[in-house]
Amino acid sequence: MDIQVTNLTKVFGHKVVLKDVNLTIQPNTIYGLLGRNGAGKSTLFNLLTNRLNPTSGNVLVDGQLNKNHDQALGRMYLMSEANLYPPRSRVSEVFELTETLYGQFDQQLAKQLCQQFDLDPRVRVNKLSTGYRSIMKLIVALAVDVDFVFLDEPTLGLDANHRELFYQLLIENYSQRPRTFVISTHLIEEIANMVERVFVLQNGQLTVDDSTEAILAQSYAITGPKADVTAYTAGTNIIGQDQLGHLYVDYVYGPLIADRPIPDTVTVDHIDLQKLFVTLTSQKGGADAI
Amino acid sequence: MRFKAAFHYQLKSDVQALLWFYVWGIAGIVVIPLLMWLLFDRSSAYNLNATLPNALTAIVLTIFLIAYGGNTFDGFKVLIQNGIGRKTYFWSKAAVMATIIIAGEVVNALYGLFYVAVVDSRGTVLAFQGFYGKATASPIVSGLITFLITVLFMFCLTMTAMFAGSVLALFSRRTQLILLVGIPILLFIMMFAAAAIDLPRIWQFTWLSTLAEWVSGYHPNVQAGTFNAGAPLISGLIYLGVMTGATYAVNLKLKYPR
Repeated sequence: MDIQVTNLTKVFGHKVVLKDVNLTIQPNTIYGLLGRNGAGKSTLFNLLTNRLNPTSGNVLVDGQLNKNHDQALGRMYLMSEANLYPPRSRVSEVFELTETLYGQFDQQLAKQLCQQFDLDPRVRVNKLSTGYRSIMKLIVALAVDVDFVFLDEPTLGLDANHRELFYQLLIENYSQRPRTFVISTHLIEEIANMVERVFVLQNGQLTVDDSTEAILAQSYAITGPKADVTAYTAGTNIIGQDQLGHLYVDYVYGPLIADRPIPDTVTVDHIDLQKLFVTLTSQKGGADAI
Repeated sequence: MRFKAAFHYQLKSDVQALLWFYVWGIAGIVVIPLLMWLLFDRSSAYNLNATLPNALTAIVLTIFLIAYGGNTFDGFKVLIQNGIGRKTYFWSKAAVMATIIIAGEVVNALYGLFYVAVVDSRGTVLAFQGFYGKATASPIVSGLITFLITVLFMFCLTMTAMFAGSVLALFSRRTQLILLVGIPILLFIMMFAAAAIDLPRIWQFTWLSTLAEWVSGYHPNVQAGTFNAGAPLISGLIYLGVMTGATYAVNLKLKYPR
């Protein structure tokens, strides 16, 4: 079972939020959905789960249009900042509601996770702090039996301990019951080690869709005196620059010129996902540079 | 399968809300006047007839159906969060409302029987008894027809509330507020304007007046309880069909965030 997104466009008034997005979400994979504020990440999630109807384009879940298709929508869960649960319900009632409407929900796991996160299931949703509301929804996301879990800013309001616990539980949950997680977060370094594939959205367009390994393998920081660095990186896909005192850095996304010797004054390093993302989506780099 | 789950969830929460409506209705209409009498007016005898309306349960049911029929967005957002689409949401809500109307009208009829037997024999058992209570020679058949017309009327009323609520659900809270405040003000102004041009006199000669008479089953030789029962049944079904289609179409446009 996969999700195929074809030519997906969403326009709000005169603002084009997503433009001709094409992507495939494979089964049993952890994705990172990266993008700056307003890039269209939440809109993409809302379109995948049919909370919004697209202006044009399609979302196919296992070959079937997701539009008002209960069978397709019932295979997905979206955890977002918005609280769509009845505000006066107790946490335990939200679990029961999810079990009733989705049909499959691991109550035992939910109970266990409540203990681990120190969440009292008798508390009403509208009495929970922002962090505990996120925790409640994360517990639902981990305990509901669906094939695709979309997590939009899952760690919003969570302290460092709870964030670490969540990532640990996510990996455990994934290994016990493999399925697809698509995680959108600004805390890229925290998910960098777990995401297998990355989508980068920029100004409503999908600019990167590749495996994390392949992306990082072709991302370089070339450091040294400016003249040597620019000579070495000439003809490559430079996505950004930095100047650190007399040291100059060119960030390159894509292959280096293989037969060009590396000058002694120049060092070539791979960059991490966070740095790559910042460079790709900064004013200097961006979609045009990819 | 998912329709059943959506239906059960909504039925459970709506029935709970309806029971609270009954509690508050009884408290507001019966208990508070009784307490006021006990506290301040012991000089006169307590008169149950004066405080217990014939339409007590009907009033509560009608207010509930308008309020909960019109409340579209809360139900939609819970179901879409749980992977249930707009079509299932609409049909399950319509089915819940239909179930509540039928059960509620049975309660109204039982309450009417109690009222006539215990409180005031001049009262009525069914809401439209005065129009259709003698529609046929058989009191049982006439009673059943009156019950059907009452249920159909409540279906139409509820679907109208669902339509209005669905249209409102397309707008932001701010726009909703403007519409909810603005429309009654506009109607109020129109009412004054209509009074100024003596609309009731003009009304008698318009096709609307003729339509209203036909819809109610009025005829020149009409007497109490002998209105033509076929007319409201046919017109009610047509209206219900049109409103159901319109509400369904609007429901397919629901979205989050608005």
